[in-house]
Amino acid sequence: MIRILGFYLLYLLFISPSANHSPRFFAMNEEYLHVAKEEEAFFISGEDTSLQHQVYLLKDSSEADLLYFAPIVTPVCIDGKCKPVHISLYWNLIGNYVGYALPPSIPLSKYDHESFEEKDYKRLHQLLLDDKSVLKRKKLEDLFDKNARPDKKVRYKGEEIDGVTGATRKEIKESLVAGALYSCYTVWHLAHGEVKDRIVARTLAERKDEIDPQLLYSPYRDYQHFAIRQLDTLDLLRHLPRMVEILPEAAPLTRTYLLKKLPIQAYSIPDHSAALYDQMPRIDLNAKTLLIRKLVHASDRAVENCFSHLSVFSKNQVKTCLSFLEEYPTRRTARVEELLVQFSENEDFSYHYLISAFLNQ
Amino acid sequence: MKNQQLFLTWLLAMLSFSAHSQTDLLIEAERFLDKGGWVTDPQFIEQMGSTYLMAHGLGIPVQDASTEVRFKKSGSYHAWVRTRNWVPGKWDPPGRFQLSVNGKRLETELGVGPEWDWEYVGRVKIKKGKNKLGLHDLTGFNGRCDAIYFNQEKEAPPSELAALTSWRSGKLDETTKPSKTRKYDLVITGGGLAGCAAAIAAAEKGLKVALIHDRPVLGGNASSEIRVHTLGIYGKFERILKQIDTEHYPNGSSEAKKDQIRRDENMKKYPNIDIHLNWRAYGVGTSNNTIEYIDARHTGTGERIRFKAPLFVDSTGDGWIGYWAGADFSYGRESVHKYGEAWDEWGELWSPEEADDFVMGSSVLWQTSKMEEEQAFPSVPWACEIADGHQAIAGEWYWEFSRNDLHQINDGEEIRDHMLRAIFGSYSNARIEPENRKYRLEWVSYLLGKRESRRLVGDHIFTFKDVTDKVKFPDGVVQEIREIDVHFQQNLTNENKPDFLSKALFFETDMYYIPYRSLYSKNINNLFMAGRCFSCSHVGLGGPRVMRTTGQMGAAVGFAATLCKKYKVNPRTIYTDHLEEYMQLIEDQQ
Repeated sequence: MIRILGFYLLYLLFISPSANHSPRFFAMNEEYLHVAKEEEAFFISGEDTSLQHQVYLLKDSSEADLLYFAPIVTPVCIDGKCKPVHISLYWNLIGNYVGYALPPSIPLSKYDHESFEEKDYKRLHQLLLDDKSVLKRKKLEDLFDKNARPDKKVRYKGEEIDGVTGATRKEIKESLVAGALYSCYTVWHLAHGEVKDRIVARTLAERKDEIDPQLLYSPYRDYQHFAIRQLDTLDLLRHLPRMVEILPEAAPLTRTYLLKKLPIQAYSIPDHSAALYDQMPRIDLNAKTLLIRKLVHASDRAVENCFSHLSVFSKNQVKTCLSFLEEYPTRRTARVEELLVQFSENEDFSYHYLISAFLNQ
Repeated sequence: MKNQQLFLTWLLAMLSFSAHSQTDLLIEAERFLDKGGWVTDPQFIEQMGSTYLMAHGLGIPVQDASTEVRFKKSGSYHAWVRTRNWVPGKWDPPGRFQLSVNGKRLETELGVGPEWDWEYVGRVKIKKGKNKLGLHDLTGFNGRCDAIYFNQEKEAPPSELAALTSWRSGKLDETTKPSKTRKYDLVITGGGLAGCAAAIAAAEKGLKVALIHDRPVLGGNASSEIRVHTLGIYGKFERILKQIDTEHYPNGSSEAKKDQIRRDENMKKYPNIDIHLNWRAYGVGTSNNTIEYIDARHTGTGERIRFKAPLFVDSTGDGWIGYWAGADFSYGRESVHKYGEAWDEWGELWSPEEADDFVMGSSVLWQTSKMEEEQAFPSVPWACEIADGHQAIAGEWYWEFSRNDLHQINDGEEIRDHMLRAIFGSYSNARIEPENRKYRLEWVSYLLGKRESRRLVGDHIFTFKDVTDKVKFPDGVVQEIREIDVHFQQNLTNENKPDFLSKALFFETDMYYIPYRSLYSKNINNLFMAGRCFSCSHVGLGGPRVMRTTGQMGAAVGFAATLCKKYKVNPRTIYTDHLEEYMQLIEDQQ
């Protein structure tokens, strides 16, 4: 009770929201410069559920949502002794951690009370950006308390190795700031706890009628993926130029998701189809595979575009393209033929021999 | 005894070499009497046609392989070698080697063509009677030789696989049916943990068992050749599994060798298990959806045996027995909606909205040792493209490769080779740092440690929903508490990551159970399956694919087989008519 009261006093002293946002690390553009309004959104708690942290929605002068933000003071306790960590966390509109700020004159410190160095601050940001960190599936005591859960500890040749999940000590070590393991753990779980679901629920509730261009047309990959997930077939066709544009910009996972979700009509509308297949050099091999498998629906120009990029395909992809021509000989236009000859003669292309063999059949 | 075996092998080899027409001779490389430093690789027979020899020297040319062959007629012959350049590109082929005849090395460098095919060596003088052949490795980087052929007409042997297979059988005088037939109560194909456990369980109850395994040592992914440690719990089968599992050494550790010795010794203690090491199944005979026999070939001598039994276990991992028999099977990731396997937190990474074939990948483990002196290592320009600047001095489980244009079985050789390039390239990159130059490349597996391939369909398809719903099956014979653990390639979420590294998603769970009905085929009457080819969905495989769990599956089917024999029934009838007795039998194992 005394501890809670103590932290409440700290909260009052240090963490009332401020109109001046200047995060130390920030993974987006400088949205924080446009904050004109802070609105109380909801409370979250971390590992210590007795402490509630206020989360604010930050808006610009036109009332458009920009970010979520929470000034946090939380105890980090080691061997029964607690000390406060002061940190302000920022999330984007789909609940992903994007940056943090520190109150002036209150640096983060390590277990031995040494202050963080610049590289430590940077590493903390990298750690917080990793939503799949090994910290997610580790209990605090599994990581730090050698006496805890002895039945789950595995030792080999006197050295403790991780016997529960297959994660390695190296993997854990690489995730953390040396000497600040407790702080890392506590802050990571605040950044990736219930806050995500709460923000997503708010964003979806406010945009339930139609997709928000702010997300679909944004340069941020997580926004793009989130937006595409909300689109139905008609939406996808309505926003087809954006889909073509997004393909090279998006994360590989979003590309494969999008290409699987795009209706067949998207591949056959001549202009869009051609543009889609012209993105081949700018997308990863998994995405290429999905485009190649849809060749049967593609326009002639799209097929030609596809074949003009043979040199960036894997061996199996080249084979699939050639099998397509075998199965649909009418798609072997004069331009495709010309390209095949060119590639068969290009000895810098590892699979030129496959084209030669095809032409010689 | 060993000399006697060697003599028999030699005799067999000589007989097979000399049985052809006088003007040509086919020599299978894997039948060389002295393989020197070359290793026997039978992993990709179904795709490229044969077991082959490979110069897996980690950058140091391996010792010559040699053999003697008998020609009936002297003269000038054309020599051909079936080989390939395993990394075609703008560099010297990494796996080059030469053929020698009677001590004279022929100039032509082999291993230069982009696909498995016959490369012409040149004309050679052959004497009547014995001639000595040798394979001389030039690089230490995985040159490979399938076969050597001599003829006098300079006609290249067939290239296309079907024609080649038929031609090869003709040249080796192989009839359709193996000359030997052996009969058992139970034939188990695949000597990984699941196959070994099935053999022990059945043998303990008095069944006469054949265990067919295509490697010289048992254990599959847990063997000293692949070196993945076993995870999971023992369930009801601690007595059996403790004979064959591993300690929790770091993956890739040479400590695996100790467990290998223990496992091999324990398996040999059962007089009614006929262990056929270095035998690989290549086909089955069926009638009315029932398997009558399995045909297998020795990976070294080419000798063949037909194995007959009323019951069979497919513990091949890739589900080959079921596949050949026409068993229903699945491959790839089901739509998240098919079985209700969503985990919203990870969405597409966990289970996709639309089904696809992006399965978990295969690993190749490797290890280095720190030496006193700096170690030399050749430049590997052909590996840089894959390693892409990544530096490493050891591998772990997350060295894993999967891509949606590659099939884990059909493209196995390309996947293995991709991993070799990743390893050699990353190790070479690490040596840029002076402190890393004392690390010697100690061991690199050349065997794929597969996680996922074909899954044979049983009466029940085990899914993630069975875990989340905490289903307690009346026939729950396997139990597990380890997390459901599904992998994805790191470059899916961050394209700057190399394509050969994976990440794991762990779903924490209470105890879950796998029913017996997931361990026999739905449509092949007398086929059990145990191991990663059991009946499950992609996500369902995520947890129980680890080897103590697959071992439990093996033990469970081994005991089921004993009841099948007792009542002269097929696996399904144990569930429908004898479940109480079967479950009691399982319970009694504790």
